[in-house]
Amino acid sequence: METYLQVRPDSGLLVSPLHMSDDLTPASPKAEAAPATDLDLVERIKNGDSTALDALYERYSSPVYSLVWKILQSPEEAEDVALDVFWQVGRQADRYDPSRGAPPAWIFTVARSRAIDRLRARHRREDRTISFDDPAVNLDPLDEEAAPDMVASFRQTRDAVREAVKTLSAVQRQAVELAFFKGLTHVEIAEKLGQPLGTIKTRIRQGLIKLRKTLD
Amino acid sequence: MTEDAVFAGFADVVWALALCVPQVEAPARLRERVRGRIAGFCAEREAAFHLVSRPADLVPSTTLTPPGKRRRRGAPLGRFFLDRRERKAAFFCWYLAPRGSYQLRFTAGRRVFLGPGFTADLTGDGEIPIVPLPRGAEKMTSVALVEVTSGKAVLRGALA
Repeated sequence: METYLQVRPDSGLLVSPLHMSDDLTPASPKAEAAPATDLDLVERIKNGDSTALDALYERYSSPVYSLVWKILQSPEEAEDVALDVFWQVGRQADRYDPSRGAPPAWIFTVARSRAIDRLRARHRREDRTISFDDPAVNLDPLDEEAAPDMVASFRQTRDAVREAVKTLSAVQRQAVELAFFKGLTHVEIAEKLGQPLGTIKTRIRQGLIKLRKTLD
Repeated sequence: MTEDAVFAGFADVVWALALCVPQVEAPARLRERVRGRIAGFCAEREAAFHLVSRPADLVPSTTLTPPGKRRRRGAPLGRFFLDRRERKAAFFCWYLAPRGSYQLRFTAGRRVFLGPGFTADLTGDGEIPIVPLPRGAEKMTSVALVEVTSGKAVLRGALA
């Protein structure tokens, strides 16, 4: 079954990463006039349409850059990694598998993975705590030229995720943060926290499952 | 299961978490860098297509296999295209370690040249659509793909 994505027809901004396809009906004639969905754009990229990559870049460049910036804590490296991410998206769109998630899920997974690769290659992991609610750089995702409803939607999603993160136990949250932002292996986290490996694996997995359920 | 595989299984959660980090505007020049890199790669691919689609007597290809043993299914495999005048070449390979770093190594007589490198993608594929070739009077006799970190050859092939 074709996956339809929940994308704001006016802005292309995602509404909720975890609410996909179930309550969406197939495209109506009116919907055909709406901006392309992420999936449409990926299909067009597969066919060599460079404008589609531009459109996807327009939607996700800042969130992708923000994620890698957060992980790497370096604007220069974040820029290089974000470049790698969109280059990979452009080059490997034919390998995108809709059954494994919506295009943004793929893009952000690639972004995180690339940033963690860079972090590991850097061989320095500062002990600075990086958490989901770090207020160090707390700019809004969209500048003043963005549509107010777009900003509101983004903030709504972000706030929902932050609330969901709060539902994790402290130990789950700590383990997920160390794995997600610092790219520590399960073994490294176990050593850092002085806990058995199995406990850490369970905390991370249970934490992710809990986040999925809370956000769903 | 590796840590990356765990998160890959929760791609929707990764997406959600990505949205909850403080947002920073991407630098304006990033768009131009993306466009430039894609355009450059497309141009190279197009040039590679024109090269590899020429007749095999003009642009013969060499299959590269793991050295010293018969290749098993799923083991690294490569193809190197080199025109008869040794001016243009293209290289493609598969089944490498995902995200491993590799480099081409050419042998011409007794001389050894290190060529361009690349990082394999997540599926272990790699390519250098247009390979810059070493200059010299001697004809190249072999090409190998070596791991950057270990210097060990993972693929090797004799050039005709």
